[in-house]
Parts: sequence; C-alpha cells; structure tokens
Amino acid sequence: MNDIEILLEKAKVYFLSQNYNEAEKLFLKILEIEPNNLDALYHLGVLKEVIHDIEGARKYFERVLEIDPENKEARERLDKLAEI
Amino acid sequence: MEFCVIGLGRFGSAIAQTLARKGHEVLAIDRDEGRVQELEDKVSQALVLDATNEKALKSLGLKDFDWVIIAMSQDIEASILSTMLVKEAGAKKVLAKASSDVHAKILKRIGADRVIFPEREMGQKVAESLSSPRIFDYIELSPEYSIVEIVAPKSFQGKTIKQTEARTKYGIHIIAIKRKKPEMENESKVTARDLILVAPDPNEEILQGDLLVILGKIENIEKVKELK
Repeated sequence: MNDIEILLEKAKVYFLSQNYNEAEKLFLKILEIEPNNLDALYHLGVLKEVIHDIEGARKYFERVLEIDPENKEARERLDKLAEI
Repeated sequence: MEFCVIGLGRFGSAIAQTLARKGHEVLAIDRDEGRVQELEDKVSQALVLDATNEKALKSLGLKDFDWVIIAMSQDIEASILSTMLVKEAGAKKVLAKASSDVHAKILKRIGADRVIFPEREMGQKVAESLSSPRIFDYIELSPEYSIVEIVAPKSFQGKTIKQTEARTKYGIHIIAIKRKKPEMENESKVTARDLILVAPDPNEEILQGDLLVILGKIENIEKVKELK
C-alpha cells in the first residue's frame, strides 16, 4: 500500500464511523498530493451529500466528471441531487 | 384498495401509475385513446370513456371503489359534471383537482370529499425551499400549524432530542429524522443509505446532516429556522 492508499482507507474508516470532519480532512490531504484523485473526489461528494451540503456535493461530482466523463456513479449521484 | 382515476393527463396518469405500482387495483379512464393506450400495461384496467356520459359512468360500478379521483381540471365543466355524476353513481369517496378557488368551492358544494390544488401546493413548497435553503419540504396543516423538513441546526447536533429542548423551549415536535448513513457499497466505495426514524426516541442523538421533520406553530418553526 502506498501513502495515498493508506490515507484513503483511513478516511473511509472515519467516514463509515460518521466522523465526517476527520474523514474530510484526510480526503482533502489526498487531493493536496494528487489533485485529480477520483476516489477522494467521489467520496468527498458522497460525504457532502450526507451532511446536506448539496452545493459542495455537486462541486465534487462535477470534478469527477470533468476528469472522467464516463463515470456512471458520479453522473447518477449528480442527477439525483437535482431532484432534492 | 380499489381506485378509479378519471382524466389521464400528467397528473392523473402519475396518480394511476403510482397507485398501481403500490399494488392497488386501478381503473384508469380518459376519452383520449392515446392516453389510455399509454397506461394499458401499467394499471389493472384502462378504458376509453367519456366521464360526462351518465350512462357510461353508471356501467362502471363506481360504488365498489374506495376512491374515485377526478384528475382533469382544465376543462372545468367536465370536471364538475363528472364529480356530480360519480357521486350520484354511488362513489364512496371522491377526490377532485381544482384549478381555481371558485372551481374548488363548486366541487365541495357538489360533494367532493377532498379538493386539491397541486400547482398551488407545489408552488408553496418550491417558494419555501428556495427562500430558505435549509427547508426541504413544507406542508401547511392550518393557517397556524405546519410541518417542515429542515437541516438540523448546528446547536442541535450531538445532542439527544430531549437535550435540544425542542418541545419545552421551542414549542416544536420532532416527528421524524431523515438521515443518510454511510456504508460500504462494495469493496472499495462508501455510499449513503437513506434512513428514516419515525417518532424517534427522546434519547436519539441528532447527527450532522440529519433532516428533522418538525411540527409546530409557524411562529415557533420560524424561530427554529433562525437557529445556527
């Protein structure tokens, strides 16, 4: 496992235990090292959705689609956000 | 339950399909053949029929249905006439869609059990939601009371319902909590599952991101909306 993979796993553990602040910090740290990391961007989108920061969620899913326009999961989540 | 939906425009057809999907018996009626054909496979039975034709309506056995829904409102004359005829044919309960206050008044006078204004109600909800981004849904119960769905204020987060003093200090009732719970979708991705806690326990802790469904006097709800 490289550093990014370790950070990602840690961030997900925080996310799953509903410690959203710590999870966000670690996902953002990944983006400092690798600004286009799709896993971190996607999970930040889901995290923002969970805490009802709809604009924030939209921003991250749009970034995923900029990098990977075929990303089905991000597209579906973004479409769903428009219905809220 | 058994429902009869008369008028298969966007509104009527949405009602008919949703009821059918929920497993109810639905008879869908319109005088336009195209609209009826579109619903044929989606409801129990779809018929081309003019709902202002007394004889035709009487042949349907409307007294066997739990609800008859008069979904057309643009053609006021047809809406009023059909409401009257279905009542006369013995329908137990009639719900009719109105397009104006006068229309609503007439529908009530001739026996509609429920009259609704979908455009107006949706308009109110959208206005509430746009003017206050923390409001997600809104139902007016009376001029004094309403039910709204708001993002839990920061000052409520981390506290139990009891500790928020929602009822004693703010005069509101938290009747449900809507929560998105993170969980693994597959080996590598976290997703959010929708949870709803109806009539939550007073010891339930309010978490960041929770949506609270609150009931109370409008003035009290306004105060809670202002909380940080």
